[in-house]
Amino acid sequence: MGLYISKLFNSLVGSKEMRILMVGLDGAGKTTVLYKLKLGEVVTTIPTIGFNVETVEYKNISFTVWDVGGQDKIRPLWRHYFRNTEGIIFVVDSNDRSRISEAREVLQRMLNEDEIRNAALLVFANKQDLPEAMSAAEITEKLGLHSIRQRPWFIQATCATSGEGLYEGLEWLSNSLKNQN
Amino acid sequence: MTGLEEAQNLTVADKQLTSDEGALTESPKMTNIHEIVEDTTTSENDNSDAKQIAAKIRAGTLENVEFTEYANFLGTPGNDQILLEFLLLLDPLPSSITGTLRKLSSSLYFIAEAANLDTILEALSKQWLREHNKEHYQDNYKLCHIVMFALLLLNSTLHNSEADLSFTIEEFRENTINALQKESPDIDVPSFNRELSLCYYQLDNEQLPLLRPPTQPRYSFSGRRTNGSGGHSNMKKASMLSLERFQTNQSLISTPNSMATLATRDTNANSNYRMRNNKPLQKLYLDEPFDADLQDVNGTPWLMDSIVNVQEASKANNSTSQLLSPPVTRKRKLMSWFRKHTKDTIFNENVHAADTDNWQHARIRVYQGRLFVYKFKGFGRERSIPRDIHKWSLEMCKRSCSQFHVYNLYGTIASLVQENIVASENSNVSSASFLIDFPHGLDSTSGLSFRFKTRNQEEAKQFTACCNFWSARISPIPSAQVEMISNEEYGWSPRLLEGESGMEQVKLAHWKPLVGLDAIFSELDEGIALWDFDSQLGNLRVFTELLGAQLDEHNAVKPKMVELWAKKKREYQPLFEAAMENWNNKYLYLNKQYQKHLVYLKALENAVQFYEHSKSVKNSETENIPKEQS
Repeated sequence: MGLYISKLFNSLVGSKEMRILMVGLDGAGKTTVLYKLKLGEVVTTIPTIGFNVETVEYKNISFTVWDVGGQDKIRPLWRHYFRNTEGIIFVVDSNDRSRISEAREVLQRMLNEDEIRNAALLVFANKQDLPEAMSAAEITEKLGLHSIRQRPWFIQATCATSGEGLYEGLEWLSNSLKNQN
Repeated sequence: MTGLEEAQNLTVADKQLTSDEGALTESPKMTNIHEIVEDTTTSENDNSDAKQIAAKIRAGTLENVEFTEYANFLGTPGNDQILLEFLLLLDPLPSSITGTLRKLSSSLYFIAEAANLDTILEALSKQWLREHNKEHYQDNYKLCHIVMFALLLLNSTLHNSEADLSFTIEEFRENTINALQKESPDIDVPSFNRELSLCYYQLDNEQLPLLRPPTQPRYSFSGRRTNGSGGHSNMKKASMLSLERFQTNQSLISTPNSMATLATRDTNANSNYRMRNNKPLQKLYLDEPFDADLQDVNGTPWLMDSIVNVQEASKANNSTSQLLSPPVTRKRKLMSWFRKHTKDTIFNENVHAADTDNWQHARIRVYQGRLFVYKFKGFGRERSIPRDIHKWSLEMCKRSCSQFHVYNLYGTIASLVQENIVASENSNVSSASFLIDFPHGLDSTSGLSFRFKTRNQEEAKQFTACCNFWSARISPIPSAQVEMISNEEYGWSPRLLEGESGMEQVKLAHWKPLVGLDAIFSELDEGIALWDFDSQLGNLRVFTELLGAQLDEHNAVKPKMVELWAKKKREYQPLFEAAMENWNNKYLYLNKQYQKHLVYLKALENAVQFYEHSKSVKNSETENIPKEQS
């Protein structure tokens, strides 16, 4: 009976699971974003050794977000995690002008991966609360987003510590992925 | 500068890459470990000190660093020597890589930021290779580092209940060997295949152990996976959740001088719970000097307290609420998702205004960011209401009323009604009334509306001013909504309007406002910072100007859109209609936000004027008293 109700609910409301990979340079605020989105849930028992993985439920969509990192030589290991990834969240430290070109390079290289050629791209222009933060428009230019035509992208100014902009970003991602299917 | 700002600045300023390669890794931000690093920099090069610190970490007795932060501490740039000494304490390392990782994670609470884990693994791989010079590693520690990292990823994939990936042994081998070949194309694939298979089985059977903090009970790791509800959580959750969060509300506007204070907030549910249990309510705003002067003076923007008639109406959708209201089920209406939602007509929207029934007597108080409603049914045969309710203490009201509720005024908007109705003398609509509308969000008050009938127009005006003053003061400004850029086409991108992309390539997306923090704000009960009055006032000025400019900009694209489509064939008519609907939706949204925040801005400005005026009256009175006395 429960299964039928669940199926009925899902068919009416629509429920979907999607894999999201969250990447960005060190210090961009990925972990803060992840745990801010996860906020409100009961903190439970034992952590697992390894890398941050969280499932965030948002509007009938279950986002599994992998917060991955590692130096250049480690990046080929991500390939397995790229498979079936429907969305990429790229977090940028808007206040760090000295590393924006490095962020651009990493982003462009990642977008060239064949496994994620159809993935929607959400950029969080994070740390907007800092006085010298670049605007979303400036980061759009510096990351060269306007040259990306074949995939949907969206850049959102955020402040992960307060949560501003995070829900808008997720909302866009869920709309975008729903539209694609 | 606040602690968090300091921490953030330190993160930016102090973080250095460990190599020339761009590190795509996490920053140590969970605690201000940089402070600790700075404290120890003087002794950094002193090997004996490094040995001592390493020994303390091994014993779990290092002062000033939490046990759960040891791995972050060791992985921080500048602590290389301590890391080296710590790893030497693990000698001899097991000959298998999985065994080595097990030894490490049994000796150190191995939960940390990815960057720091990576640093530790790199150092460990160098040491392991020195001790076990296996031929297929070609004396190249990088190969060993890749394998260790792959095993850590595998551990998450196999044992983290949140992980959604399966990782078969073939996939694991293929993925890892691919990464190894990128580092060294001529690796001995069969040897690595054998080793990786063995590692896979070892980890599959038993995950890497986590060293327990000294005071906590021993964990059992015998189980493979547990289900999500009661099973394993993920790393750092506890510490991240205890991270101080600052609701600056000025994310897009830098106001470094504005002060913020952390406070735990009440949701509507919490407020009601606290009221019922006689517990003090949490502050929703930052105290200002003028609050002390006016917060207890009735008839001011700070406090309104009176007897009114109240009518609750579930707010019908207004012209734009369908844009703002997310397609989620309201908690209050079971199965309401089952029904088809229709947009109400203007008559339906205001139908409650014509309803003369369902009025209830109530004493209401608007105070400190909340609306307190005490409803009275009346006493005796005539169901009469005591005349002196307004003199009762709130405690007395609470005891004697039939119902009471507390509402936080986040995002509400109060407005006078019937200003434009000419009524006959005998009409019962002659008394003044005002409305309080709750915003369409995700919480239980979403779309709620109250209508209050007051004794006269003046009182209704004062209530309206008071409600809007508090809403303006405590509601976050949804500035994130105006700071977004996308390549999605809604029908007015420069690319389309300037003819760069052909009409046949256009794939229109549906424009709708995105649900933001302001929509769920009233349900957040975490400890967040409160903002000061001046910065809120300043931010409202900036935000309304920004919205005004956006409205102008949006209006300006309309003629261009019409011109573009006028030239096109009839087959593009549906596309044009969709584009115009998008345009209209955005216009309605921007306009509604503009009007609302303009009301907020005026409410705060009027309150400032009120305060200045009352201060000058008070001053002149105190000046006059000595004159009269003399």
